[in-house]
Amino acid sequence: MSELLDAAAQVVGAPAELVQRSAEARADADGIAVEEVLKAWAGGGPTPSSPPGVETPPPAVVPAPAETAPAAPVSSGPPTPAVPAVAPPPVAQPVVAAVAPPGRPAAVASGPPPVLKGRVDRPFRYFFGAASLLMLCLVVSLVLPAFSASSRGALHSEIPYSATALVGQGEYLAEGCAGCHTQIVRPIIADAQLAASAGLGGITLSDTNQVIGRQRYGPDLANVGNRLSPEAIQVVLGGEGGHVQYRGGWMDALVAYLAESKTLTEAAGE
Amino acid sequence: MASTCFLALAGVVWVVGMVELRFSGTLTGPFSYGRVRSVALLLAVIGWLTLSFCGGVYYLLPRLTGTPLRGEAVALVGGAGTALVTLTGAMAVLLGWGDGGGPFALPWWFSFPLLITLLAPMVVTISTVRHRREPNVYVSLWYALAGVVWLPLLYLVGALAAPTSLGGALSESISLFGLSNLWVVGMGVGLAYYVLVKDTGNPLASRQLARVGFWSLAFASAWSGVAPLVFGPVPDWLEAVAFLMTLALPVSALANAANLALTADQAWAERRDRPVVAAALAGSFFALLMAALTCFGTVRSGAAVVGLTPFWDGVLYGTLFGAGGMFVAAWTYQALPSISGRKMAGAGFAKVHLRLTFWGVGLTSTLLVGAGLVSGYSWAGGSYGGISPTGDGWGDLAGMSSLLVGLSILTALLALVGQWAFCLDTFRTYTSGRPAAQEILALAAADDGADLSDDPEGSGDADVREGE
Repeated sequence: MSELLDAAAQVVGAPAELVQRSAEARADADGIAVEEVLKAWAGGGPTPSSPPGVETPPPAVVPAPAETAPAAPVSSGPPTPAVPAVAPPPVAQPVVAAVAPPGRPAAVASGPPPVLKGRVDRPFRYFFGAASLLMLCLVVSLVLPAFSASSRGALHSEIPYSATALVGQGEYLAEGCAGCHTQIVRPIIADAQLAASAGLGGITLSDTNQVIGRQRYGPDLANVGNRLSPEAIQVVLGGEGGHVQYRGGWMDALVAYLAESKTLTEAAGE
Repeated sequence: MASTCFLALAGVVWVVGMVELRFSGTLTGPFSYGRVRSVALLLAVIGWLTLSFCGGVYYLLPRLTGTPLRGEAVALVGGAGTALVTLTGAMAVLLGWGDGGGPFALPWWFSFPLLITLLAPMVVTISTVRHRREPNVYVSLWYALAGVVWLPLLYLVGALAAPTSLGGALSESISLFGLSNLWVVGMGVGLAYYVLVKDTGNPLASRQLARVGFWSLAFASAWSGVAPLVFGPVPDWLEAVAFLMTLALPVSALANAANLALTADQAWAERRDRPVVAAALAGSFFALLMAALTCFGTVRSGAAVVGLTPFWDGVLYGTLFGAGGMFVAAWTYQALPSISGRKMAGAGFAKVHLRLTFWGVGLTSTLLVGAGLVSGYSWAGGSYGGISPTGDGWGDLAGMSSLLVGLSILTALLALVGQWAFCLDTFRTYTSGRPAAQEILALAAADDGADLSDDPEGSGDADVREGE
């Protein structure tokens, strides 16, 4: 058995362990002994028959025109001695020296071999093209808005937060409060009442130095300092009204940030 | 294998986040929604999907370039580093050490090492492609080449500290939507183009259609990050530009879905017994659906309803766990047996995984999207009725959508069972799978003149044009 394995491995040009495993798979699929498979691969016996219904796999290496067969691996039949075969230069074909997976014969055995159709291209065109398009998007959407005067511009918030409040803003971010609460008032019907209750008059908050937020699973907190006293904010943060209980050590700073989120000024030029 | 572990973790953390969202205050401290959401995204996007797709890139490269993988050590160190930083970063965020910046809330001392590890796939890919011996460039290689540059760039954008609130919100949103639509969907489609052809034995249906799909994806995807901020403090012109660009997103998804379906051809009828075909086509279906929803949410009339609502969580969940998850499954089911030399442990596991994931993720996304629509209309209706989405008024408005969010927890659990079946299948294949065919890439040495590294742009063209 060991000699057979070594002989087969030498013929196939693959590690003995892999040849052993492939032989077991082939033997399992064909319902024959492993020795028979190894013997056949070593050149000392007839090639084991394919399982019923399985068409003969294509040869190990299928030289095909460049237009239809790029470097895609060509599935082979058993690791026949054809493995060392080299695809016609200049293309070095990756050769698959393996048994066709039994049970999925159609994938490898029938008709023409699996072919990845393609034509010559310039690969780095895709690399640089993709990078350029993304950079364009980033420049336009992240850099240009900094130079753009807002066309809405009814109101904005440039709140002069105290040092304590800025610490609280950092804690607000770190705790992920922005995952549930927004600090943004939009010029749409859904936010009209919010704008009114926030004392904004109009329905636009064109710019803000508050934390805009991602989604509104909880109440909006724009201008919350005008609606709730610091004491009331502390009660909510303590877990009142179904709010998550805040257990961090920056309660005072957090309260200060929210309590100071109330100064809204008219935008210049409005 | 590492990515599979992260899938098992990410699925659980995501469900924990949804429970905390619906039953606010149930869990506090490390498991509060604010922290859990960032950790769930980190584990899913970086831990699971990125590691898996990097593995896919390394699997594709030698097969499509005809040369051995260059820089294997870089790839190994990069992968191990990504896994390690992701895991420790997730712990740091849960412990409250996150800075809240970017989609993953990682502090800079985690973001920087993670960025370094995410550069590894780019180094390996460029190096390997430069030394390719195969002049033809198959479609999957387009996506691999583009994906390895998108990944670090998009991560960097999210990790950079923005000087303004608007800048921070925009960079976070663009980073997250870019990672999900460009990196996850893009790499998934690229891998699907390879494994579907290999599994069915059919040639690619249309290279032109693939070209349309690729370039429209590259053109459109990152712009969709502006969508959640429509009507926010974003300049009007940017909203308009983003909308116009995002229109190309469904075009890309449709082109790719059609191309994959045409490539599968008759194999579609055998999808029950061919998990690769079923997963690849289901992934393209999810990608198409989520692209259409993203486009809808970017239109102003749509954004007025679904902006800031659970709608976007539904789209994100469908993109990551639906499209991303199915594409990962497709390439795993095709490649794992040939890499490991073992058959997949059980066809039953694959069926359970695909069915539960398809229905679980599909229903969860639908319910969250529905919750978003209900929320949006409730806010608008409340506005007419004098109810404000602040203070006590919030409870009146949130009640209706809360039911749908609650139901989505049940369907997410269904998807979680499917994801675990996939993890179990993968582990059992490695540990006790029966012997199967194993690919041995015997990359033949070509003569020096055939090495295209000297003239990567020119010589290949000439050779093949002659052939044509």
